Amino acid sequence: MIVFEHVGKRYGGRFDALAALSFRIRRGEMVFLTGHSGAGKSSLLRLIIRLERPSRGRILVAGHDIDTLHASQIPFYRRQIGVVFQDHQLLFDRSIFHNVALPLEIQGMEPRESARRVRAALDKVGLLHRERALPIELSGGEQQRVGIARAVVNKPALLLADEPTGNLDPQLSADIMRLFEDFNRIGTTVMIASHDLALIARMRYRTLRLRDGRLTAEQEAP
Amino acid sequence: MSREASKGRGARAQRTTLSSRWRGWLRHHRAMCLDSALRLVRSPLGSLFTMLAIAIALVLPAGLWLMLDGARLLDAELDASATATAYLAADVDDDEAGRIQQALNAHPEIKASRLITAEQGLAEFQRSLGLSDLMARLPDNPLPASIVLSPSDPSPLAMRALADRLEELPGVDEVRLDLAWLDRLRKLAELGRRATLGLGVLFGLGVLLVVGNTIRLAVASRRKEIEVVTLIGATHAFVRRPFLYSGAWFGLGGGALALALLTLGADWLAAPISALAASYGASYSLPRLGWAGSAIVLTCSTLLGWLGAWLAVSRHLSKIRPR
Repeated sequence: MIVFEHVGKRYGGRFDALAALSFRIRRGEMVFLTGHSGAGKSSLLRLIIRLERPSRGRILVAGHDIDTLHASQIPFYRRQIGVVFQDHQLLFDRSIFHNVALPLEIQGMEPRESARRVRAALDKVGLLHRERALPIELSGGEQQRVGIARAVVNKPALLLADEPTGNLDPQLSADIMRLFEDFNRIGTTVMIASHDLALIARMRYRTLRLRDGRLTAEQEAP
Repeated sequence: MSREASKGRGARAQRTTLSSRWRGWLRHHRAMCLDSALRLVRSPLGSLFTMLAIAIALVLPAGLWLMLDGARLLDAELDASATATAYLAADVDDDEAGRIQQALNAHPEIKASRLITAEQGLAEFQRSLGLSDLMARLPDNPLPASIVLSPSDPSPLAMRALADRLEELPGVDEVRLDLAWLDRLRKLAELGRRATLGLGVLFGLGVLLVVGNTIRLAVASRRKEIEVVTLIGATHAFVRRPFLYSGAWFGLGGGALALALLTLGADWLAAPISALAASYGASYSLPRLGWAGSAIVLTCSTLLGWLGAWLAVSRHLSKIRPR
């Protein structure tokens, strides 16, 4: 699903955020990406959704070299990837329902079908009863779950998450990880960037470990 | 996900794309058209100020254009009154003058002519000067007979050529053209037309800047929203759409205000203008825009608003391209 071939990303001509990165993630796999903060986890995710372009190397997603995408194709490419952002990226002037509906609205989906899918996604993350609330009325964990609902409402084949359990307590973190496992079980490829090593160890999935922009260890799922 | 499942889903997605994309597009247009109008209404004072600024920028060129339109009508009237006067030699008597007039009438360049005999000329002269006893004091009528000619081609060049030829005729002493002031008026009108065009372009740019600046602020206040929808796959067209509608609404509102200002201004100026024109013996009144003119003003202002918004949003979008 994702192939990195000798990918490097350099900022400002001097600082290598990522260097000579090569790995492969199979379709339907669930993978953790870990490393200390600043190791390049977010940069890597930003490369995959083509918020940034690699300075060197090639990235293939679903068999396509994404560097060859024309600017006008990028939006359509991004629609195939669900992303859970570290800072949620919710819009605070509209309800939970409308936040989750946003990807479908962008695609021009018919409102009735869209509402059905939004409710299904909210139900999945356990927030159906809060659909009319504004994001500000929700706790951090709930906001994170809204972000997850928005990422999956479109039924993407690939789900990326950047520190989805950032500041959550262990119980909430485990709940959220179980959600990702559920999506993985129905065939979604999942990639989660996290520095919560204890949690990752418990989860027993394949783990890519980054240090200073390099892959230090690739630990297979036990 | 198994390969079969993924294929099935792809096919379904394709079907919905083909059948509903157009409807989805229309739906978003409708929603954004309404949404941007509501945003304008929700901050009425700010919207009004923007529209007023646009209106003021539009009123001046539109007003000048109207005045020139009126001047063009006046111009046609002047063309019709363009004449040449052929003064006959002093020894030509009335009978011969009549014959010369007939000869002149035979020329295709001459549309009409009017003979003023020496006596008629003197009488007219007396009347215009208010000297009733002039005749008594003069031993002899010093004025020659004259023929006032209306040429069929009133252009200065043709009239000059005509005059040169008529002067060759026997019995014709001199042909006078009163072209200088007509010429000056035409040049003035041309100057006015160019000034209006130049002002129109300048003030059109002004409208672009006003709308562009307003939309730039709107973009800045919705920066977060733009960022989020771009992250999850919104096209530039999708991001631009609400702002383009806002710009178009601003333009339309500004255009409507400009029409109102023009109507008020025309009413206010109508009386002094016709009084002034009457003192020159002309009948001139400011023409009204009418339906077609109003439609042109509204279309232009709406397009300018739209374009201003497009420029502002595009500038912002070009800054958030992936590096």
